[in-house]
Amino acid sequence: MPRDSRRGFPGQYMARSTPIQRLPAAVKLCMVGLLALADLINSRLTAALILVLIWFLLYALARLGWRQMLQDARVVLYQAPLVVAVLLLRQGMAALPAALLVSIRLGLLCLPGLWLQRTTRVSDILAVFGRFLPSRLAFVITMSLHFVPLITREAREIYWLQQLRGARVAPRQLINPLCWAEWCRCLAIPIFMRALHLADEVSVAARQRGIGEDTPAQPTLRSQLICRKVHP
Amino acid sequence: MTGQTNTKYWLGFTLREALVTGFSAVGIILAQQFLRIPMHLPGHRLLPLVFFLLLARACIRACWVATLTGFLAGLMSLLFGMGHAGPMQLLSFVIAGLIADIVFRLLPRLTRSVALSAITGAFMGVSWVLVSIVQDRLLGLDFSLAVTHSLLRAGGAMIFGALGGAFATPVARRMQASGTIMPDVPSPEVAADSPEDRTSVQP
Repeated sequence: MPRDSRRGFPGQYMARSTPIQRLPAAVKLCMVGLLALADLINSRLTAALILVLIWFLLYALARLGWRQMLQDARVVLYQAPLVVAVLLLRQGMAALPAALLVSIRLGLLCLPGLWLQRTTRVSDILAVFGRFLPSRLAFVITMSLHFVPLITREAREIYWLQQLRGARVAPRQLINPLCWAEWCRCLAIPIFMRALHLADEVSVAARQRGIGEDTPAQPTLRSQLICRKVHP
Repeated sequence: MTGQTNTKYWLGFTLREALVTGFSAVGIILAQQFLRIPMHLPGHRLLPLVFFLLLARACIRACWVATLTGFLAGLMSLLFGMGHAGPMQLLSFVIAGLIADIVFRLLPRLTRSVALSAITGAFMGVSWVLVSIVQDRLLGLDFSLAVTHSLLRAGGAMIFGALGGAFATPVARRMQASGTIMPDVPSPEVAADSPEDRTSVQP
């Protein structure tokens, strides 16, 4: 098993029994939005540092350890070296505080989303968005996300089968650009075809349940017969 | 079944088309999550975006498919905090999808030619520069610095966008050849037989 999958990944949901985890998803979404907005409006180093402290506190309150915090911080601060290098090249060492401020603000703009993912289940977030998104759009998003594990499992199976038949699709082999075409042919095409067929099956199943129809679905002959048996 | 599944579900798309765009959007999001691994290659996230947008464009013949896919991917990344740029991520995805749709309207054989797809991918990479400039300005960077920072990222974005476009073409071609999806430009007889059937996904 790869090392990263054992340790988790940035933004992975952590089930903890803390007041933060028990907060309604809508409240957490508002908090995240407000803190991101505060980061956008603010242009002072002290205010940015206060925001950093607030995020430390929020991570601590959610009982997320140093490992999770570092995982998330690594993701959000990867742009920092580029920003610092550009500013230092253009304006010299005098621009270091400004470069640090911009780097911190860039990081603070991305951190809320990761914290939200760490502390809130996807289903809870979807329930909140289902309140104000159009119901048909919410259905498409929910279905697309619902079948992610299935597609992932199928993708893994296709990957192992192709490996067994000797296709050069392993990540190590992808360093060689000559293997990219094989990756497209052996992995991308079967996975995408499987997704298309899955979309077919889901749409047919949804239609039969009357989803997306203006009139409710008519009971099938079989269900009518079953009803007659139960309630003669 | 065709008549039943061709009922419009949302914004003129059938349920099957909407689901295919949804799956493509999820593909973009998952690939972007995977590419969060710091590779120190600016713009490398454009590769899966262009790949999935052009593939969705090849699979469904309806108008504005790529834009809808970009919108869904942006919305999902916004909803689940998977993006690095917040609302700007949504804007950049939609603009990239819009470019794919506009080029497809002008050149309907877009997904058949590797060169055309690569050029479109590079254009989509350039579109990210504008979004990046707006984001940097919002964060307080000086305009000239914002332009420099964005142009540094633009080169990589163009290269990865072109690569994504080049990868999408053989996949689309192979799927068209296997009959999973219909060709981009239908023959006149097919078009005359089914004027309302815009979906290119074979049931």
